[in-house]
Amino acid sequence: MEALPGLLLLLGTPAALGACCACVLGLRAREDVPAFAAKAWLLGAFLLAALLFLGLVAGVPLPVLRWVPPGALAILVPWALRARRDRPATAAARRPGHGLWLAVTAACLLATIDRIVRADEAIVCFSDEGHIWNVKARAIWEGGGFTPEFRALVSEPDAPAPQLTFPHRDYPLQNPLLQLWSFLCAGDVTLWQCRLVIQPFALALILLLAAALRRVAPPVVAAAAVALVALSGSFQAACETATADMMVAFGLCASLDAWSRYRAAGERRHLAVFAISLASLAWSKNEGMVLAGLAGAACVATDFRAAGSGRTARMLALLPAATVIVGQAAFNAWCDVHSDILAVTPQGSFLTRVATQAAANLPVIGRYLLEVGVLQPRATNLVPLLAVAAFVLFPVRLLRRMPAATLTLLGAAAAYLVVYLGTPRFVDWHLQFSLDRVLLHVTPLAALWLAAAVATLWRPERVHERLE
Amino acid sequence: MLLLLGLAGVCSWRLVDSAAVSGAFLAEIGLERRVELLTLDDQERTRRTLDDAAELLEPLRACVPPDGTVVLSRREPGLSDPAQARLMLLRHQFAVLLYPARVLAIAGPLPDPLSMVDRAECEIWIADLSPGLPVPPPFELALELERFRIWRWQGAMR
Repeated sequence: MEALPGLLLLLGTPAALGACCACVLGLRAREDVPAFAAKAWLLGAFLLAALLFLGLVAGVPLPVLRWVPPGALAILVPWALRARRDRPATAAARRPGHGLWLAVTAACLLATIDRIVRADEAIVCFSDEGHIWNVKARAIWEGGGFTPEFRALVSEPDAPAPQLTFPHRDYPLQNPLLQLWSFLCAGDVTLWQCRLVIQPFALALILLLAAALRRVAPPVVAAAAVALVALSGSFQAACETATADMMVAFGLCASLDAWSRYRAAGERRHLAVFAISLASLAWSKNEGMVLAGLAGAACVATDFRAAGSGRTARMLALLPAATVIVGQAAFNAWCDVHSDILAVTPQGSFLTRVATQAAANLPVIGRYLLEVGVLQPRATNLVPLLAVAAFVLFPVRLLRRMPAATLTLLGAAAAYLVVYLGTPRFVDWHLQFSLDRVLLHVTPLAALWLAAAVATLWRPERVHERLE
Repeated sequence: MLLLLGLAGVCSWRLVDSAAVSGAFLAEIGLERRVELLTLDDQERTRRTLDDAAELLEPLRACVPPDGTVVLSRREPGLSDPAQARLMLLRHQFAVLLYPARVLAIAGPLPDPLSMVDRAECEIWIADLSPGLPVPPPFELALELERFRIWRWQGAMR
């Protein structure tokens, strides 16, 4: 696997699938190289996972499944070449300050690659990366696909001893399927290469954030915001693992960026990217599912005043995410796995717990927010706090200027608050092990929102492109 | 304008601090070590993660069936807290690496095998991390490694 051909197959397949898919959708690298590279990875990873899922549902044996993505690539390449010829690209004009933005983005990428190389000194065997995500991929591998054996492994209770292995069995499949891809490439379970398919999401997020920031903010602000996010402790810690938190942050940011580009230019290609970004977000983690619902609802809600043409297409853009959510729910029902958050416990149903635990949990949540969000600036670099401060001072102006992103962020804060209020676990424990990751989910979008707010408040007459 | 100045001040402080932390992290190791990290093989990465217990991984993967149980055993009396913590860490790591086999960790004397599992026909393998201490019957020596021993007990039902 360490050999170059193995790595090429492992990483080159999703990258090439994504690049071809992006070309077919009408995106061009020359127009915006970082945005193209980031979206290509998103599209490729989603397509790869979807192909593996469909293959497994169809009962394709694992040794044959390995050849499905390369087969799809062979079909996509000529299609992409033809699409490229039909729609030539024009290079984007460079704005003043481009060099600084480029240098900071490159430095952030290098720092993240260095982290990844050093983290991969260790194999995958611990924490959420091992016990939630890697074990689910191993269950598919050991079961030989979506077989009764797999179902028995997934639905089997953790008797006889209380096991910490394999919690959250209801989590979506995109991450495990991508790890399964590394098993398929190697012909066996891999010890650390399975991480390599997930870690590029961190690099893609930096590229996407840099491109989105450059679009809505002056280069100095864009450079500062990308460094604030990419060099934060939470981001650097998350890029070391194969957990799905970076996929959530990336999917959320990509969805709102694509929606903004669509609203600005009215081009269907951006609407298609929005649709797939939202679906990828919904397929990344349960939190991603909630955020996809919120982002989709926010975009639809703020769309009412838009011109009538294309409304059907905009509604249809929500279909892939809805399909993913319904499909995952059906799959979980088949596996007989359920969300522990929504489970009925001796304290009652989720909503009962929210009502009965609110008074006790609220001060604890406030204390942890203060400790993690404010007093540990190295974890989050204070981005969510700064976004809250800006919104409190200019609520109407910023909501009117960036309605979809503002509503998404407010909805995310409300949703996470409700989850912590109704948690079936000790709230201290739950907050201690999840709050920094939850903040990471929204930090890149909050940074994008904050930069756009600065551009709006600073020199509104110079703002050409906006975050919706 | 005051808000923007305040925002710029906080962001500048965070950027300088983040750049300093990242710079220090980057400067920790040189190019030679980075090249070494890039070229490590699976075996060496495993050794660097599991330390000497890496010796157990491949033999256990080879002999324990998917429905088997592995017990990481340390039977020395008066096991220190760090040693117990290390045993628990190993249990978590091997639970992933040997999935779907069950992995237990027992500090102290081994209990009756039948009390450890819910299925009497299950195979129980003892990864003996206390070399030199005898293992009572019904376990039989399956493999003698450089530092550790692997014992096996097959349920009466099989």
